[in-house]
Amino acid sequence: MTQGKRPNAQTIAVTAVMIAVVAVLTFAVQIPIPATGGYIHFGDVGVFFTAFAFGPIIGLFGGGVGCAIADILSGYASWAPLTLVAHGLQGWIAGYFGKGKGPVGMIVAWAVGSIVLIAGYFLGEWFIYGLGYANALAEVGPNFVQEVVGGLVGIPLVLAIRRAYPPIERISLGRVWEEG
Amino acid sequence: MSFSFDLYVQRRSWLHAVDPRVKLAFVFLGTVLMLTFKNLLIMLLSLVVTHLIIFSAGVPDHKVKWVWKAMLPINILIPVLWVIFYPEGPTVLFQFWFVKVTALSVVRGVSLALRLDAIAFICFTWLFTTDQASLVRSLVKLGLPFEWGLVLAIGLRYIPTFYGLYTVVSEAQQARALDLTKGNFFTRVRSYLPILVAMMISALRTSEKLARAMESRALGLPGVKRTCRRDIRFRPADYVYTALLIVLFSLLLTLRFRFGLGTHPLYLF
Repeated sequence: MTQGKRPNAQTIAVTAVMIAVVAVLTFAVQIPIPATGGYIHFGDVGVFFTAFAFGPIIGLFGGGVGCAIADILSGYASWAPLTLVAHGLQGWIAGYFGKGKGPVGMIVAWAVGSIVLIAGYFLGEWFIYGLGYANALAEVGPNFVQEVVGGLVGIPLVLAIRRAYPPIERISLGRVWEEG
Repeated sequence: MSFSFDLYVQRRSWLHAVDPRVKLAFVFLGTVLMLTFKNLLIMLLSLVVTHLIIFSAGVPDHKVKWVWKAMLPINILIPVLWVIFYPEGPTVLFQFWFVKVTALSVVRGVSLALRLDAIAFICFTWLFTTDQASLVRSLVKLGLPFEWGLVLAIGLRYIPTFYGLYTVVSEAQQARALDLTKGNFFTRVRSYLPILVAMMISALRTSEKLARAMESRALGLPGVKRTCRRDIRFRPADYVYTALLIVLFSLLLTLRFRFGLGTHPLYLF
């Protein structure tokens, strides 16, 4: 993926684009949940897609930075640091276990990534923000729905894109320009 | 939920002139400091101070209102849940079924919510007054490899583009009889797939073009010293601000951990 330790042009371009895609999916797609009156967004779809298609490093940056930017642009700047860490870890773990895998491998990686995210928010809100277990627990439900949607849409999305746009394999390998 | 693509407010104020690294230090130290305090008065004071800073930099009212509007739901939810689950202290304001509303837990719940507001406004003193180019430049100057700085800059640049792309693709697919409102929750969620597939492919094509453009400009060529169009530099005033920041931070941290400033929700010491 990277040339030595530094990312090459391909990695830079695809990471940047995925950051923007994750941020846009977070605030552009808002689907109301009839039962609670709340909303779910597609940020996690973007994170899982990025992780499964491009692996842990791009998953880490695309997920963490993309979601943190979405938080800031939506006015929730105080959550941004926690989002950066939680979604970054989610993208990293999901990419580590799920990159280039078939449906079963991706479901496993999705489960691990979701647990990391839910636990990350729960612990962060409880201990770092000091909101107590009640407030931290109140977030677990919505986050769970969010993750279910992330897997339910994210995994078919990866499969569909692999079929419809085979060059994605080439992008995820990372071309390296060799000076002759 | 409302959002804006760029938070930056272009003005010529004292805060806009401050080096972005100083503002970033203020955000970091301020957030750390806020997380150590639990006191209502300190939260109110820091909200007043951040509002004064933001308004003195010429940021219009509607930006500040937008932040408050976004923070409103958690400002209600957090105190309510706190009061229900953590009753404390002798003063019971009123009792309602099994919920005992005590004065101390109300104060504590409100100060927890205000703490999040304070942290948000601390962040926005930085984001309202720093344009994206100098923000990225400051991160690179602080040691972020320039490639990742470039990633951030390009990512921010493409957010409005992809938002437009999403809107166009979504409308195009709906014009081709894609129904996003039919069926139960899960069917509706899955009905977004055709939009996402088209959008993703378009985004991936963009990334390939971008990579080719960067490669053709010899990005990452070894042994090249990078230059920048507009550099940021510490002015004498920035050293003063930095010194002030460090003194204030150490003073408040000492007061907090040696003398217990701001540990009680209501009393300062």
